[in-house]
Order: sequence, then C-alpha cells, then structure tokens
Amino acid sequence: MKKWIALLLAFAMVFCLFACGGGEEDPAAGDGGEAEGASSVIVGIQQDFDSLDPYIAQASGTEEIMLNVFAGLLSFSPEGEMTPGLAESWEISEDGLIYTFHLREGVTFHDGSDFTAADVKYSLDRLCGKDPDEPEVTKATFADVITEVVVVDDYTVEMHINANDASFLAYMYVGMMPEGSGPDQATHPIGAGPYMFVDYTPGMGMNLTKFENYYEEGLPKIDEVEVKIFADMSTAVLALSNGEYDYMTVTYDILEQVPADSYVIEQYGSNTIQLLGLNNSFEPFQDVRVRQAINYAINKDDIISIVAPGSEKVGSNFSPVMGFWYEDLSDYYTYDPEQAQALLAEAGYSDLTFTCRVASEYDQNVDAATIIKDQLAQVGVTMELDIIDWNTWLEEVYTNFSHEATVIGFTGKLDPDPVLKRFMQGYGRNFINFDNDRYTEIIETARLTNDVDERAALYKEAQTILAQEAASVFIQDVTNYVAVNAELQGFVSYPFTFIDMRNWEWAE
Amino acid sequence: MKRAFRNKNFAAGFILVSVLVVFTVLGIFWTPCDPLQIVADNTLQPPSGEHWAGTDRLGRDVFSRTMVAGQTAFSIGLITVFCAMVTGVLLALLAGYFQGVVGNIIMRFTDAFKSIPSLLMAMMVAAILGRSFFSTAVAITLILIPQFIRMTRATVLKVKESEYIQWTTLVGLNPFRVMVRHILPNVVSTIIITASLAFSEAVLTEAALSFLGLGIQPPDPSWGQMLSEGQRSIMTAPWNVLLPGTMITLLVLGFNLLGDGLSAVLNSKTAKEV
Repeated sequence: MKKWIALLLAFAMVFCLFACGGGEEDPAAGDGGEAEGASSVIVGIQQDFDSLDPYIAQASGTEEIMLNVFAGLLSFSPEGEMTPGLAESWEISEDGLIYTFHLREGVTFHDGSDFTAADVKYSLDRLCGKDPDEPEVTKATFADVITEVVVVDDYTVEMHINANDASFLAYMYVGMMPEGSGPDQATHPIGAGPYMFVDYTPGMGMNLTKFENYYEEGLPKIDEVEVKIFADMSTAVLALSNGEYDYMTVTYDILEQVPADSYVIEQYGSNTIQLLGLNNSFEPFQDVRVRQAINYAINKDDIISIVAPGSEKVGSNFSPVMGFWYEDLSDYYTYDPEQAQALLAEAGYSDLTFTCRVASEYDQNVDAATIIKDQLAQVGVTMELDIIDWNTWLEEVYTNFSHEATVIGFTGKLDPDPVLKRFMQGYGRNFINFDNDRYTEIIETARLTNDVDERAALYKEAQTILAQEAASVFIQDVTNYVAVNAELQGFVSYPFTFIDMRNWEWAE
Repeated sequence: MKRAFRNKNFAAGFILVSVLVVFTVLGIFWTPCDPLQIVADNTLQPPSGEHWAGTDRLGRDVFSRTMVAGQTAFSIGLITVFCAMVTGVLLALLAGYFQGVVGNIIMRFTDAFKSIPSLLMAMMVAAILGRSFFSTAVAITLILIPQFIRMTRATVLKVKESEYIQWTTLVGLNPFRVMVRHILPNVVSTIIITASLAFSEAVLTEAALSFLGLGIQPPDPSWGQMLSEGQRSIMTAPWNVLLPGTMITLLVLGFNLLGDGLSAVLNSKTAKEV
C-alpha cells in the first residue's frame, strides 16, 4: 500500500514539474522582431532613478527615460530647435512678457483624462511651488520666472513672466501632468508621452508600455520597453554578449567586446562637459593662479585618448555641439607642467594637497580622476581620491557643496542659459562656488536679450571669462557610444540626454 | 625545525609563502616600471620585454602593479591578523578562565558576530567609516576575531582541567598571572595555526571587498581591484587578470598548506612531550 502511495506522489511531482516547465515556455513577449505578438525592446541604463516624479528628479539619467513618459507643451528636434508639442502654436507679446499657447485638441493622458488648459495651469503652478498641498515641489527655473498662468479657454493658456526671457521657450518641454495627480507621480507617473509607466523596482528597472492614444500619429512603434539597471560595465559586457540588451550606452574601453555582428555602435557628441570642478571657495582655489596652475598641469589630450577617444576637447563649460553659441577656447591652456609649477610657487602652494570626490557609478569620471591624480603628482600636487556613491555625491557635493574638487559631467541643455547659469552667483546649484560679478551680469543680461546675435556674443564672453578665470578644468565633450541591436532601427541622437524611443522599430 | 620540513604540507606552504614574501618585499625597493604611471598611447598592451605582464586600460604596467598590490595584501593580512589575534586571545583567556557570567557574555557576543556574513559586515563598516585601507582593515579584523576566540577558548578549557592549573586555584594565585604565565604558553600552538589560516582568509576577504569596490580604492593597486578592473576586458586582454588572480590563489594556498603543516607538526610535538 505504502509503495502505491509513494509512486502516486512521485507521479504527481513529475506532473507538477512538467506543468511549471510548460508555463515558462510560453512565447515571451521579447526577442526582437521574430516575435509575432507584442514587440519589445530592452534598454540598459547605468544608474537608478532618483525620483519618478519629473518635477522632483534631478539626474539627467532619469530624464533621458522619463521624457518618454511625459510630453511637454513644446517638443524639440534632434538639432535642438523647439518644435510644437502639446501646444500647436504660440505667440509672444511685444514686450516679451506674455506667452500664449494654443493647445492641441483631443489629446488624452495615460489615465484617460483629457488634456486641457487647466492641466497646464496645474502643472506649472506645481512647478512654481504654488500648489498649496505640495509647496516643496519647486523648480527655481520656473518659480523665478513665471508670475501667473491664466486659463483663457479650454485650449488656450497665457503665461505671464516677470521679465523678458529669451530662454523661456527652451524650458517648455517640461512634462505636463493631469490636474491633481501630483502626489501620486512619484509612485505612478502619469503623463501624455508615447510610453505609459507600468511598474518600477528600485535597483532593478522599469517597464513601459505603448500609449495607444499618443498624439503623434503612428508613434511609438514598439509595444513594450523594459528599462534595466545594470550594476557595472563588466556585468554589462557579459549581458551584451548574451544579447540581453537591445540598447545600451557603453564606455570606450569595452567597445571592442561588443559583438560586432549583433550590435551597431552609434557615436555622437553628448553635449556633456566633463570637468574637474574646483570649489572656488576652498582656500587654495580662491587664488586664480592656483586654478590656472591646475589647468596647465592637466593634459586633456591624454585623458581623452584613454577615456573616450574621439571626444572634443573644450576650454570652457560649453560644447561644440551647440555651434551657434560656442566659443572655441580648447587651447586656452596648453599642457605646460613648468608653467604650472611656476604659478604654484608664486601663489605659495607648491605642496598643494586636496581631495577630489567622485561618484563610483561613473567609470569615465573615476578613470579621468585617476589620470588627473597622476598628472598632478608630476607637478607636486597631491590629489586624494574619495570615491563615494552617486546618492552621496548628489547630497554632499551637489546639494551641500561639501567638496574641494570633483570630477563630473555637466549635461547639456537646449539653451545656453541653463548651461552657463551653473556658474552664476546665487544660483542654487553653483557648487563650484564661482564668484564673478561680470559673469553674473552677463548671464542676467543675456537672458533678457531677444536679439540672437547679441545674445550669442554675450554667451561667448561668458565662456571666455570661465576660461580666463580658470573656474575649473573643463576637459571634454564626452563622446557617447551606444550599442544598438543591429536589427533595431530608428536611432536618433539629441544634443542632450534623451533616449528617444518613439521611432524605434524592428527590421522586417 | 628539520623535522618540520619533513612534513610535505609545511614545506610546500613555507616555500610558496617565502617566494611571495620575497616578490613583495622586492616591490618596495624595485619595480620594473612605475606602478601608478599612466601612459596614454600604451593602453591594454600584451606582455612584452618592457611590460612583462602587459598594461591595463590606463596604460599602467600590470607586473609592477601586482608587486605593489602584494604589499597591500600582506600589510592587510599582518595588521588584521595581529589585531584580531591580540583581541581574540585576550577575550578567549577571559572566557575560558571565568566560565560564569563573563565567559557567557563573551561567547554569546562571539556567536552573534560570527552569524553576520563577512561581506555584510564589511559593507556595514564601509558604510560607517567610508571606503579606505583603514575601514577595510577594521572590517577584516572584526571578521577574524570570533575564530580566534573560539579556537583559543577550546584549548584554554582543556588546559584549565589539568592538575597544575587546578593547583594554582587552590593555592590562590592571581588569576591573571595564571592566565599569562601558565595557560597562554600552552595555547600558543593553537594560536599560530589559527593565525596562519586567518591570514589567508584576510587576504581573500580583502580581494573580495576590493573586487566589489568596497575595499582598497583606486589608484592604489590591490589584487582584487585589479581583477575587477581587468574583468571587463578579460576576453581581449586576459593578462590583466591572470597575474593578480594567480597571486591570490598562490598566497591563499600557501598559507593554508602552512597552517595544515603547522597543525600536524605542532600537535605531534605536543603529543610526544606529554
């Protein structure tokens, strides 16, 4: 009798195993073009999301994905020009103080609600800190500029700004959200972008699904996108050779290992300036000669050839990608160790020692810092490395300004104002503590200048001041390398961090 | 000593460790190239006459880095084993001699410490003290202490039962004098064996921590960190991981053999004397 029961149990177990196995064999929705059902793409990113709410998030690594979930009044072209988005057209009053936007009709949010002028008002009020329930959600770039948002009718909005601001339109790509949705955005973001948020697991990744009612006809083309966070480049290499990702930003040193038959490497100037940020209020760096000496002591060409060959060398905090506004200062300080030593001796800092804090997640910055340490040692300067994690960096360096130096990439924007404003006195994120009256004056004047040529001239002067005053050591506009599945078409690059998923499709 | 070398384990371990010590000590005075020097147009070069073990992705000489990283491994090993040994033996003597409340408290704490996985412990220490040589050393010391306590206490308990120790209690000698003068000499062999095994664990843990980026920070070389840096180019430039990997293996093997050999030699010796 016992034997029979045992046999029965054994059969039951085997049956269970088969049943489980069968379940797993169901055609998973992935696997590229061959799948007949839903098409999907897997994107690999290097860092976790700092917040899902785009009004709270600060990291560009978050924005590059979330721009697919949210849509703004304006959109932008790959060349960086502002194009119609949720607003079909707009007018600017003669004095430049009132912007009138005419909204697209028939647009809905991911939750099914209609997009109207009330949502625009809600979104911008929230950004300006005027939402009484969430006054802590404030972005100074909006709060300092917009005085009032007026709903004219359901599809017309007026924005009143406090002073003529030539860079205002460039901010209008900020994502719109449905009225009252603010408190839930951080857990379940809802926008009007091409992809809907499905779920998010901290440290693991995010799932997105196609938004059927997206306002751009026929877009997006891919049904599902999975965003996966990978711990470091070495695990990513293995994952790439297994074909685990369809789209992933990679560093130069692993390019050779990306399987050439299944991936195409796309390369473009990222409009991100990598710099050795010197805290200008740290005592030795208060002396301009010390900052200049550091500039002379660093061989940027060497850094570029090791970290990201093909990148453009820069001399100020501005990328050649934004050609119209760009002033070429890349040879302002040529590598000259003797000059560096002379300047240091003159300033009385021949045995300078300082600490450089770098976020461990960004290999390019850690590598650059390692090389800089070696180069500085040759002129007698000791640079200690303090490797910290990204969240500590955001808190300590970016928020508390607690650092002597740091290596970081400053991501580009669509307008020169936010790029150069980072060095303005009184700007909340000026962790370089650059303190120059003329510079601040230029940035403020340029913002009020509507004539583009005049404006460009001002920004060029600002870039020159950054170089002259050696605000920091501006190294390179880091070239981005992206490994894209050879079967995946529709890659578009932008002059700032944005992974545009709209046009992706699998080759037939 | 001669008899010790008749033990094959001991002899092999001793030779291996000696060779590595010489290799490392040599690195203090001389390396073929500057281990920290970065050469831009010389990255990921295969082994050659100039660079015996090739160069890494920043153009640094792998052979020289391996030599200097040996100093890191040995100094971490020596420092942590010494600290853990002193603390561990002290606590073990107390726990063994005063078996009542004191002994119980010490042993329960030891159990609690032992139950924390070593990597978790190291991550905790790194979170509190930051990532540096110092915090790595602290973490490894904490990891090693329990085994010194356990091993030593067991021997202390055995020794304590012998008649001459019982006699000291009867006569009323100062317990601390008894511990140091009469018990300690009898547990030395246990301590030596434990230390030898602990050394290899210390080196292995340091390598693991540095591999994960929690230990020694760049640009100072450490074997574990060289492994982790070289890992991404393992297919195209295997020389980046080959040498440091071999060194870790040999050092751990050497100290384990040494420990086994020592235990065989010392135990047979004490057996004969008794």
